[in-house]
Amino acid sequence: MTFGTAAEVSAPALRLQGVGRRFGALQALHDVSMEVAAGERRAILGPNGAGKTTLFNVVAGDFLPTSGSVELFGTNVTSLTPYARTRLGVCRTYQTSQLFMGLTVAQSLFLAIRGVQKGRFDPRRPKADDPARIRSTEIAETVGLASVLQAPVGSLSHGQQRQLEVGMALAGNPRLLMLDEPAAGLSRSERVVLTELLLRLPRDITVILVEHDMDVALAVADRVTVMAEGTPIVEGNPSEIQANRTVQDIYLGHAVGVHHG
Amino acid sequence: MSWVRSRQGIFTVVALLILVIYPLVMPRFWVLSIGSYSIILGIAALSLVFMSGYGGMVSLAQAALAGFAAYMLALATLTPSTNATGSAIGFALPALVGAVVAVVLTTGLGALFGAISARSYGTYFLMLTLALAVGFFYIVLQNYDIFGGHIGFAGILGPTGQPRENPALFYYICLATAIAAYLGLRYIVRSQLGLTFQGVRDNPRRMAALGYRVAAHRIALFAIAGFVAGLSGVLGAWYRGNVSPGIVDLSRTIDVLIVAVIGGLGYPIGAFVGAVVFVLMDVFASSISLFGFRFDERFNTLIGVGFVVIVLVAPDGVVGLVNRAWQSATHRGGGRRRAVDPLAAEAGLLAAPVATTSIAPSDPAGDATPSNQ
Repeated sequence: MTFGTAAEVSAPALRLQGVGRRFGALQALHDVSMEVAAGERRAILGPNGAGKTTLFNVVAGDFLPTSGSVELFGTNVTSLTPYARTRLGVCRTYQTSQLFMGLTVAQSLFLAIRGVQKGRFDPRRPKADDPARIRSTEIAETVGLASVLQAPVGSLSHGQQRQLEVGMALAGNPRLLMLDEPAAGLSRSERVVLTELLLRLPRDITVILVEHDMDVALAVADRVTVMAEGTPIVEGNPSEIQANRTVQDIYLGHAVGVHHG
Repeated sequence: MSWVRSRQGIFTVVALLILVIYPLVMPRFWVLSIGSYSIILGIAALSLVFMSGYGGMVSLAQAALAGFAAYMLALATLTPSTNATGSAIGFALPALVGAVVAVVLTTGLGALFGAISARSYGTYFLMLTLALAVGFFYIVLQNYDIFGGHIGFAGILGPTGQPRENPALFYYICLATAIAAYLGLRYIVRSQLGLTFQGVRDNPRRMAALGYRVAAHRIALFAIAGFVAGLSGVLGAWYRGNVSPGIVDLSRTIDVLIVAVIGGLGYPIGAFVGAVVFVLMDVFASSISLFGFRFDERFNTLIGVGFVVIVLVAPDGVVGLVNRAWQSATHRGGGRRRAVDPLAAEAGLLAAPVATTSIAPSDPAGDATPSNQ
């Protein structure tokens, strides 16, 4: 991990100012302004179409915002490429798994570790005691994939693929970890394991979590932002959110247990 | 597993022995026109198989890259006076120095082709590389000052003089080059760099999210493939003794693709198997008669029919067909259709099965539609 300057340390992990994103006639994000403090666990809730995944893509750099600015750790990254943001410490998972189906679990984790290190074009083979290989074994254990380390990713179950999603995001030494519905499609017991894993993450990692499963989201989150129609409408701690009438009307009232990814 | 390994070891040793003894017992035509030429064509196809199998990039520019190397070799080694068109270019370098220059320049051109095409995928990548290949053909056809126009250059001599003077030695040079290229690529695919190629092949969007500059890795892959194609081009120029636009025309471009598909796009060794099948068909189709019907005027039809049959019967090529037959015969994973890379036989951490490459365009932005939130 790199340690930033004093200004960087006190800066929020993420600051969005007036961020908008338009796809043709559709305004997917509209005037989004929010701050996530360093070390915070933030859950983002909202019905389908609220703009949660678009928000992730704008923060990760997959889409550039059509208006507004994105700051990560005090640095303006509005026009930075995705790989440059990852090297700044932003790691993410995807709502639908984005994996390397022709590689093994070990190889996938190895690539994820090396992606934020020098020597990405190293034409040599890593030795057995290569730190990245040892680390990939550790991460596989952390996310419960130690037994399938040498298995092709394509042969994993859906749950294991979701675990690998999280493992590959953790492998990049994140300062800001963005999880897009990590529990989607997981069984009840797998959700418990995932929740415990998220609770065990070191506090110097900031976590932003999109999750429909309230048991996971509210157990992990310090604060919750509720989005609707492309913009945040309520922000508060989990108990405030649960008590909020507007939120109950637009989301909790008819959404719990219905949306699963 | 040790049983498999020893079986494969025995197979490899026997195959190598046959390849080494071959030029000592066969007539010159078989050593040069079948053996050496198959290896030369196989190296060109190997560069394509490497790109498609490990990078998901089906390129039609490999014949152009090989041809560029042949032209560069001609310019580097010929003296200006032997230039058929009388232009004054020619550096009269020794054959091996000229070969190094040609291969290095071709690696650079591969990188340039990569820089032009690295941001396109699937069919668009295919079309861009085709455009580059056709463009290069017209440049050499119409440029007389540097490339000698439709005449090209003659009188190119290899380090051993004309191949016909010592066929076995020329064959061994080709064989050694092919083995070196094969082993080199085999090493690279299990390296950090090789893994990034396969990551880009499987999911470029995720690679970007892991911190990789996807385009740069695809350019690097194209440059390496350019290096391998360059080896083929240099050997081809020595084999023919001349270069002309005919070596980079559309049919040569397609030949490389056909060879790779016959052998199996997912199998590096398939490049050479495909080349042997292709060269044998090419040479003997005109002398075959079937049910009293002779093909001497229609040997292209026979080649075309053979190609269609192979693609229909064995979409993963001759090597894939043999592989599946072998697997079902030995009752191990009999029904598996997935191509398992023979390079990866000694499965270590970084041994990857090669994913089957499709020519269909892949959307690097995956779920990047606004309706999918």
